[in-house]
Parts: sequence; C-alpha cells; structure tokens
Amino acid sequence: MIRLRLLICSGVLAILLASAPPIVVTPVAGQEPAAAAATYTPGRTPWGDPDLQGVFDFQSDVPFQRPLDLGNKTEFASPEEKAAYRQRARINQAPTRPAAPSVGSYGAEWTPRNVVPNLRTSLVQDPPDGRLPPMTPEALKKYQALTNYRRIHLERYDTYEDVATYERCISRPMPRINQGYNSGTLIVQSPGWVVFLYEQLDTRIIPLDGRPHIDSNIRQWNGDSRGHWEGNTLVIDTTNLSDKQKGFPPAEPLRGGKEGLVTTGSPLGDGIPMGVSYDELGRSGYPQGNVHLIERYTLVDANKMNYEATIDDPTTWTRPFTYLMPWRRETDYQIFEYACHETNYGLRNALSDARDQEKLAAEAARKKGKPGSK
Amino acid sequence: MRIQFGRPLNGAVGTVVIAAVLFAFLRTAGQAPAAQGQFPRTADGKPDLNGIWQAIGTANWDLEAHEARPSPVLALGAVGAVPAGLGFVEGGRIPYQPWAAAKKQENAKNWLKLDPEVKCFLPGVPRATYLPFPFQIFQSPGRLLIVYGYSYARREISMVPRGKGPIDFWMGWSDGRWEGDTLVVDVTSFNDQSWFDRAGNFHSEELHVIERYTPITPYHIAYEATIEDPKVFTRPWKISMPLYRLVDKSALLLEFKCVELTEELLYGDVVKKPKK
Repeated sequence: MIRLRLLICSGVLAILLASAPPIVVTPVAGQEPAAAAATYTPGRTPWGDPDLQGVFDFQSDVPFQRPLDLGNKTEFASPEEKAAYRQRARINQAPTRPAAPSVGSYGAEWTPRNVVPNLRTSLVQDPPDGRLPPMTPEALKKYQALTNYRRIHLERYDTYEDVATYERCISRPMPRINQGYNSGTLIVQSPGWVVFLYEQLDTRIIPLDGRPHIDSNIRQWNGDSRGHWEGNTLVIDTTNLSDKQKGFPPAEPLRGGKEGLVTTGSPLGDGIPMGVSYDELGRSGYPQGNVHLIERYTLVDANKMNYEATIDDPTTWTRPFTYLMPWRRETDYQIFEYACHETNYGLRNALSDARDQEKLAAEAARKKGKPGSK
Repeated sequence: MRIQFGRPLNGAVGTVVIAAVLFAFLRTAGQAPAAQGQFPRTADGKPDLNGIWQAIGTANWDLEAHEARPSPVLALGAVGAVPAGLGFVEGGRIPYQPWAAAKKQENAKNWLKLDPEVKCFLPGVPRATYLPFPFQIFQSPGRLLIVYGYSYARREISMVPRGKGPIDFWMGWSDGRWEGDTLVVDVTSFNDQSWFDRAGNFHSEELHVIERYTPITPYHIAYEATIEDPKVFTRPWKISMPLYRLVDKSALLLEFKCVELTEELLYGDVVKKPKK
C-alpha cells in the first residue's frame, strides 16, 4: 500500500518538475541585463520551492560607497572602463597589508582573489547617490567614541573584547559584506527551511513557516531570521541582533574629496588618519541591537545570484539603506571545517604581547625616574 | 548495556499501532510526520531525516556505567554533580589497551583542565550527537547536513563516496550511504584532540567511526556508532542510543556560541588588570 502511494506521488512530482524547466539567459560579459534578472526561473526542489542550493562566493572589488568623483554614475560601461578608472584612482579594495611577507601578514596564498565580476560603482544602491545616509547625532557620538578607542588600542589590546569578533572566532559581521578569504557559502534547503553554511564560523538556520520572531530577551550574533518566498526571491527578515555585533560602516579611501584629496568615506569625515587600514576601522562599527535587516536572494541566471541587504535602524541611521552584491556559484569549492577557536594562538599571543609591552614601558619609566641609574 | 530498540521500521504491526497512537496524540505538532504513523519519506523513497533531534541521557557525562559523582566545582553543588548512568557501551567496558587505560584514568582525574568541551572546542564524532543540545538534520537530494546546537559544530555528509579527507579534522570527514532504511556514515580523518565524554575517554588520530541512523518510529531514530582505533583500543566497540524528535512547533536551535563564554577562562591571565 505504501509502495502504490509512493508511485503515485513520484508520478505527480515528475509531471510538476517536467512542466517547470529553468529559463537560461546568457548575460553580456560583466553585466546582468535588467530583463534577465526579471525573467530567470530557477529549477525547483522536489517539494516545489525555488532551488538556490549550492556553494556561492561573494568576493568583491567594488567599494562599499561610490567614490565622490563618480558623481551619479551607477555603473561602468565595460570592464575596460572600470579597469581604467581603478588604474587612475589607484584604488586597491583589498585589505591593506604590508608588501613584504613577515610574521603576521597575509601572503599570496591567503588571498587568491576570486572576485565576482560587477560593473557597479558601489555596493550601496540606495540612497541613489551610492553613499551611506547620515548617522543620527546620538549614534555619531557613540561611533566617534568607539573609533577613538579603536585608534588607541590598535593592536594593543587591553582585553579580548578589543579584538575583531571574527579574530576571536565568534562570528563574522552581520550582514556580510566583502571578505578577503574563506567566503564560500553553502546553501541547503529542506521542506520549510533554508540553511546557510558560511565557511567562516557561522551557520544560519532560517524557518520558512511564518512563525513569529523569538522573544526580544534573546539576542544572537546572527540575530533571528524568518524567510519566505516572493516569486523566486528568498526574502529573509532578521531581528534580535546582539549589541555585541558591530557592523558598518567600512571606512575606505574615496577619491574626489575636497581639492581631490582622498577621503575615508567615514561618517566622522576626514578625521580618520589614512594610516589606519579600512577594515581596522570597520571593526569599530556600531552596536546592532536595533537593526532590522531584510535580505533578498534572487538567482539572475544559473550561476549568479543577486544579494540585496536593507539595513533599517532608526536609532543609528537617519534612513534605511540597501546594498547589492552579486554571489557567484562555485562548482569546485569544498567548504572545509573552520576550527578557528581551537587553535587561536594569535589571540593569546597578541594579548600577552600587549602586557609585555606595558611591563617594558613601566620598567623604562621607573628607570628614568631614578637618578644615577643607566 | 545494549539498549533494546524493538523491531525496525519495515517490521511489525505493533510498531505501527504505537506510532499511530503517538501521532494522533501529537497531531497538532508542526513537526509531526505525515499520515498513518509511518516515518516520513523523501520523494526518492528514502527515510526523511529532516528535523530537530536530540539524545537524552548521560552519555556525554560518561559513556560507561557509573554512579553519581560530586561536582568538581564546589560552588556548583548539585548543579555541577555528575548524574548516575546505565552506560551505553555494548559489553559494558571500553576495551582500552593497557597504556591507554592508564591515560584514561589520568584524563578523568584532570578532566576540568583537559576536557576540550570545557574550552568550547569542537566535540568530534560521535560526541556531537549526544551533547546536551539539539541538532538539526537537513536532507535534500544529494545533500545531507547536520548542524549541532553547540558552538559552530556542523558536518557536511557527502552522499558520494570520497574516501579519506585531505587533512585531519576535529569533526572528521564523512561519507554517507543508504543501506535499506539505515543511513550509514563512515567517518575518518580525525585529529586526536577530541574526547568521547567528560570522563576522559579519548582516541588517537587513527579513529574510525561508523554511524548508523535507523528510523524506528516516526519520532525516534536508533543511533549506533562503531568505534575503531587500533592505536588505543584492543578491538572495535559499539555504543547505541535512541534519538528523539523535538515535536514542539516552535522548536529551534538557538546559538550557543560558547567561544565568547570561555574567553575569560582561557585568556583572563593576559587581560589588562584595572589599576588599583
């Protein structure tokens, strides 16, 4: 009896699957025509959801905010035009690292750049000028305090809490923007669920059954997410983020400030010294406990997915903003275990080194104070 | 002690009757499987292991039968005390080689300092299965994922055989296949860092684990793990226990990012002390 039911069910499924083939549109190199994005129909899972499963990567060489000298230009016309601009601007969006390999720096094997082609001039799409909206006055004060603290404690950590959350092996920032390495992400679906396995540290489990968010007493590094489908777009609504999670904004060199000087794109204006690499400042961030995050995942062809994230936090930003990153399907990317904390000697060493430096400084100060000593 | 499970899924009417009664009782549960008290199946006819599961019992305290023991942390009193356990090892005792039996005793004496779970390190396999946290299985054609509610522990189980892994891992390297209604997972490529429980039971990098997940009612999986390590044990040995489906509609894995919760323990001695 069971076998007959299975047979009938499989038959029905086969008919359903056969009648919904994916429509494949081949985009012009480097661009996704708007028409393709609207018409691509992905395959379906056996239970009828759009199938987004697989490993994707989202490395980007597009600045988060649009360089000031590009004005209202939303997109380069060709990869060549983009390359020429980058050449003139000498913008390197990779994290700033010393050129010569030394202990503690990243050699070439760490950053095989697997950048997803993207001709847009910024990740931020809204506001339309491609720039972050202003912060609220109160948030600006908090952010200033955090940034000042960060400047003083740059790699002279008082405590583990001074260290970036991913260097403590806890969590990557939410939502994710560009990463230099280990950015592979596996998406798996099952009836009523989607799960994101980020290679680096985090797994996000998303129920699709419309249940309410968890109690506001519960704060999580990845918040609490609920998903639903709008056509072929997976929409994920996230709240309950922890204030310990520190997000935006990444300060990055933006050409075209006053008199052509490079600015940092930071809400604090040009007061941030350019000796500080942008991701150092990006770690200061601002507390994300009030963030309401909406993410949208849409396959625009068989191998490319548009990821859009809208951050709405009226206690921090004067209006919501949205950024867009293309994710590219990777067919030979095996996600490995990320046993980060288990061998995080770097954290212990950084802390103990800071204590040693303090002892040496205290010793030197004592010796200076004693007359007749060397 | 070997746990008796009763007859497997494609067996007796008795199982179906009990399951039907259970199902009727729990019919409002969001996770309740489909009709007629059968374990749910995927479109390709295999058991559908999707869901949130948890082991119950004392395996994580000590795989072997043991009496209740006082807390190693005095201030925790009864909260930190070790409950008694019937044991999960077939034959009763883990068959250590003599040198390893001595090491186990050392481990047990110093478990607060040495147990990787205290430091929020990855638990390895099979310990991940019987930690006191739920885990969620995600199963779709060609894919099988287990996400555990402890730290960032998770496993991707390849349903295409890959053999040994490229390096060693805390959670090993898993190849899965179906044998009838049993999911068999062959796990190799472990490092020697994890323990089997809080009682100091350990292994070497030659550990080889074969897990078997067999649905027995719509709400229970019979879980068995055969453990083999020629460096440490005199022969392979086996543990078994039921896994229970969480049927609460709102069941959800919450974060237990214990790395943050162990930083003071691990780094407190190199943190700047406030000036007096």
